[in-house]
Amino acid sequence: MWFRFRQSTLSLVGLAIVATLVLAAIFAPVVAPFPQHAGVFVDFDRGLQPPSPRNWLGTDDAGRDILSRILFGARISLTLGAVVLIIAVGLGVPLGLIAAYWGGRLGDVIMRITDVFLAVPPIALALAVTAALRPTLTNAMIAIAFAWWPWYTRLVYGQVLSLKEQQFVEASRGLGASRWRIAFREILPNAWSPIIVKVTLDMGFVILTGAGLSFLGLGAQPPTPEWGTMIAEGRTYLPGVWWAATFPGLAIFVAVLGFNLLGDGLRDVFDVEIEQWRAGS
Amino acid sequence: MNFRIYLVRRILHLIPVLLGLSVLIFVVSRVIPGDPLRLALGTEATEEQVQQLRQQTGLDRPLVVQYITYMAGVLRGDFGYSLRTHRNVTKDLLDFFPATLELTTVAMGIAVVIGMPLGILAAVRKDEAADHLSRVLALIGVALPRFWLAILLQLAFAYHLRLLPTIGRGPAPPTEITGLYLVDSLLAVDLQAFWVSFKHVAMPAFALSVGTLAQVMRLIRAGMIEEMRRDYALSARSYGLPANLIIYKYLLKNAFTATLTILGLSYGFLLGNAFLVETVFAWPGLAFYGVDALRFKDFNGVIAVTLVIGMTYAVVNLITDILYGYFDPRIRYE
Repeated sequence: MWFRFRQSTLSLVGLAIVATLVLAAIFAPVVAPFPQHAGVFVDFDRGLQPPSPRNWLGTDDAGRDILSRILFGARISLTLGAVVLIIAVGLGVPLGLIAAYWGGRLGDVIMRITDVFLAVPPIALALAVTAALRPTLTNAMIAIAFAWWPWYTRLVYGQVLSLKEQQFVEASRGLGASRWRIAFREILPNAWSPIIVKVTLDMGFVILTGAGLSFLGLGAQPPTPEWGTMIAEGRTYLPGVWWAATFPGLAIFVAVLGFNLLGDGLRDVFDVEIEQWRAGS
Repeated sequence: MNFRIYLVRRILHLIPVLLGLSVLIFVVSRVIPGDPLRLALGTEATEEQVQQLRQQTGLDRPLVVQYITYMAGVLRGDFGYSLRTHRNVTKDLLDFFPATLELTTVAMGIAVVIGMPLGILAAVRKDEAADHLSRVLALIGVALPRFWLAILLQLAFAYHLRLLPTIGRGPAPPTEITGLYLVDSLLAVDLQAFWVSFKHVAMPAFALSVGTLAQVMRLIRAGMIEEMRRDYALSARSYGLPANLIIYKYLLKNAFTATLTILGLSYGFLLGNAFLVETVFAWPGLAFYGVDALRFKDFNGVIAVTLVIGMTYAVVNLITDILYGYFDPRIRYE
């Protein structure tokens, strides 16, 4: 599996980006040149300085080092992505499994509810939810998760529908295994690979959505070093101060790109595995 | 099954989904902590004034009654009173919706018009430099935060090169018919107004379109490569038909079918991302209006915007389904 993955340069680039992000998030206090700049810190004398040997990516209006804030921002974005997807998978996967395997009226109800959630683009639904909540980072996570779970229900539903006709399911039913056991112990493990691929790809898109909400002022609030918030703050000093909005955006771009490349790489690996499995090798 | 029955069924299927959506958004918007009425009237207002407005807006009645009253209004085309703009939300929608429709449609147009030839080029030159370049461009296009790209374009083309206007839609064309500036100026045969409107929409629409453009490019490429391997392509070639004729007349039409299914879906992403792009360009659209409604807890505005986005999305998907049948006559509507 690793061999297949290693053959694609782009997948390796993706893995490297994601690994760097995770390391940056963990070691932000150690590697950031000015860790104290991540929170409430003001040094107006050094405000809005262009990139220099002291501040590689320049400073923002309050004189905070943008590089340090971006590094701490990795913590926020990765946490946001992880929390949202844990909720989305935790809710969406069992529902899809139940809807497909139990079927019947319960299945219908679940899928109709899913349709309702899928009737609006996730970011629009997440925005509507933030309207009902106070604009904080936690609430942004709740709002995005609220809009994101149906995609997993849909995905698992399709997977399970095809898996439940397979012989191994028939076999365990013949052996007298309970419905729950078949659903969660036999079928679900076989449905994981597309879920893992989707989670990896979605990490990027959830980070993007979270940054978008914060950019609109409906997520993390200043002075939190959240990338979207930083762009929104930096944007007010355009066009003279180009660095304050540009670098946090670059961070989002690289993060999304990293997860996309990694996800594509994983998909290729799993696809080949599935093909081999079908070919009986 | 005949097409008309299929169409009716599709539309009937939409009704429960949109009703469900209205219930969902209604419930979500009514659990607002804090008092939106107090927010609307300001801190100066007395408790009596707040109570009076509560009665006027019907917010003192049970949730179910409120919902039924609201939906009865919606069916009559009345989306209620806005606490922020102090007028009927329907009026607001009529003002703001055409701008969003224009922006997203132009973005979709850009994605297809640029993405399709690039996809064909990548397929024809498979595994050559052009193909590799298109792959890299596609990866970048999908990952670019559109609001950030919007800011960068603004910096480059508006502030530094001064080629395009920084924000807004520009002046409305002299005659207003549809509210879509490009269409209205064309209908009035006012080419100058058209050019002005086009210059305003070009940058926001391009920023919005990059992700879809990348998708279209990749899908057309994949579709074309698949079609090229088919027997009919081979036999057309062995008959000595010119390569361009085969590519554009036969292969492209078939390759486009697969892309079409994604276009409907990506229209949703365009609508979603319009929230960000409209904010950057101060584009007076639905999303721009919606974000303000959100900030001011103007729930009638929020519900209306979400419902209209849901409806637009549904209609676009319906249109894609219809087009799908045109591009692939083998499809039977069942």
